[in-house]
Amino acid sequence: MSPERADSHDGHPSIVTMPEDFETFYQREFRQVVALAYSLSGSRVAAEDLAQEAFIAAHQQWEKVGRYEAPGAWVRRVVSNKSISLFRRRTSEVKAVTRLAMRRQIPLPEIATDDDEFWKVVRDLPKRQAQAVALFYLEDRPVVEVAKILGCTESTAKVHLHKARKALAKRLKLDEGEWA
Amino acid sequence: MTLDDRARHAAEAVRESVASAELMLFEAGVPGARKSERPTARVRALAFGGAFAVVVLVVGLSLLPGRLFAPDDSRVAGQSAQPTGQDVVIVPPEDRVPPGAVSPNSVGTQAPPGVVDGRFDQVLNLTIVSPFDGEEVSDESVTFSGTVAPGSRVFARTADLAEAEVDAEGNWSIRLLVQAPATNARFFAEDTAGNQSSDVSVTVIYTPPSPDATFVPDPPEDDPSEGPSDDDQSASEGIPPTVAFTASQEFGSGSREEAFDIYSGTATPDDRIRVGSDYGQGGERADVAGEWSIRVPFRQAPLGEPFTVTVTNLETGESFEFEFTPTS
Repeated sequence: MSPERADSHDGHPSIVTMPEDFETFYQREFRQVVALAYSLSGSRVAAEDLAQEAFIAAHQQWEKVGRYEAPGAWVRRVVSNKSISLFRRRTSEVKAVTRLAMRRQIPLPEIATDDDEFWKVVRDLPKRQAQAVALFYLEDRPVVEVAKILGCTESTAKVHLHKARKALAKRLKLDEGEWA
Repeated sequence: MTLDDRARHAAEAVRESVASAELMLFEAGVPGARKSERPTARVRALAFGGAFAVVVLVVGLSLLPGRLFAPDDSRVAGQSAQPTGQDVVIVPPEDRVPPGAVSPNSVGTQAPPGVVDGRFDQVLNLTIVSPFDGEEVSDESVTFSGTVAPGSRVFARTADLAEAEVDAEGNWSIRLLVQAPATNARFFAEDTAGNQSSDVSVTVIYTPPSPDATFVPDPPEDDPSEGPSDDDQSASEGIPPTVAFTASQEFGSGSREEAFDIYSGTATPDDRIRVGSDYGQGGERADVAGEWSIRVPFRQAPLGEPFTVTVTNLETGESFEFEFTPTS
């Protein structure tokens, strides 16, 4: 018996698939997405909120997003865009601060000054370069996956990373070295 | 210290910070559970309002001639005289879900009536016999089977509500594709009178096989100096491989100020793919790996009104339709 096939509206049969269980997906991905939001927003208060918003958006469209080859990439793209957007970051920060006041939540622990400075310089980069750096180093992803998340070609992602590394090395007065 | 060393150190610092943080993880797997934090203020308000109402009621009643309560009814008086927040118990929605209830894969789902456990429904005796909950499978194509009241129909909670085959004795089965690492499959039944059962569900663990070692990555599109790789046998033979035309949409909605979507899929290499709509279009040829991706900005689209986006393979005439909705 072949897998159940349901005709799409244009007559092309489509494979009927079941989306991954959202809870499983959430438990697996949440902390990494919070880390991404933290690195790109610089806000220990708003990072979790930004991640939550991205997962809520995913959940609302889970019937579709859950069937993607890489739903995690979709969530990361959403949170990357939200985090890098100054306006959204400040709005989330206001909401998060309000929630903190009501529930006395503990924000993300501070990181060392040198590390914090690194991410500040990253956030000063053009948007795509900052996102590429965060995905490449924070999640240790190969360039092809960085490209998928950012929705660009692999060579474009390489260009973003190349330019970002050049700028970071200059600002931080470091040896650029070879890509590890 | 090189840039890579500094970057990796900073990355590790962020990971450690998040790893050690007390994050508000969802317990029921439903983002609505997050809202259980928001009712905190509402809970307090309800508790205060409820307590106040009780005080007013008791004081008012006590002033009535022929009081309802005996002056020495200390138990009632004690309860009424000291209303506290604890007297008004607000049970968050997720706490009302009885054990073994259906996995909340949809927003706001609580345990529907008739569900004894996740795999059995009392209304139409819908059961899942195979696979068992948590079973590990190595093939993405899985046959789900079970029993139901004879004469009933059984459907899977897929986008198109795929229908199972049911025999005269009420044995049903359907084959579905699952995704890694785990998939929760939900089913419901419907009898001839149109009565629907509760959902029953089962979770399977799917581990896909290792990636194909001969996978050839896409060549960089922006570097025309690189010709086809030696692994590209189709190019050396001069006969392009036939690849099924598929299309998918990345978002489906977006801020009106910077509305765009990304359409991607597969097609026979070099096929021309066009994305068209009333508010934006784009086009591209499928690459040597049979993949294509088009980013289409949408301009001047009316807020909140979905419009149709058509993706067409100009070589075969096949097309897919999607909807995009500009949001605020």
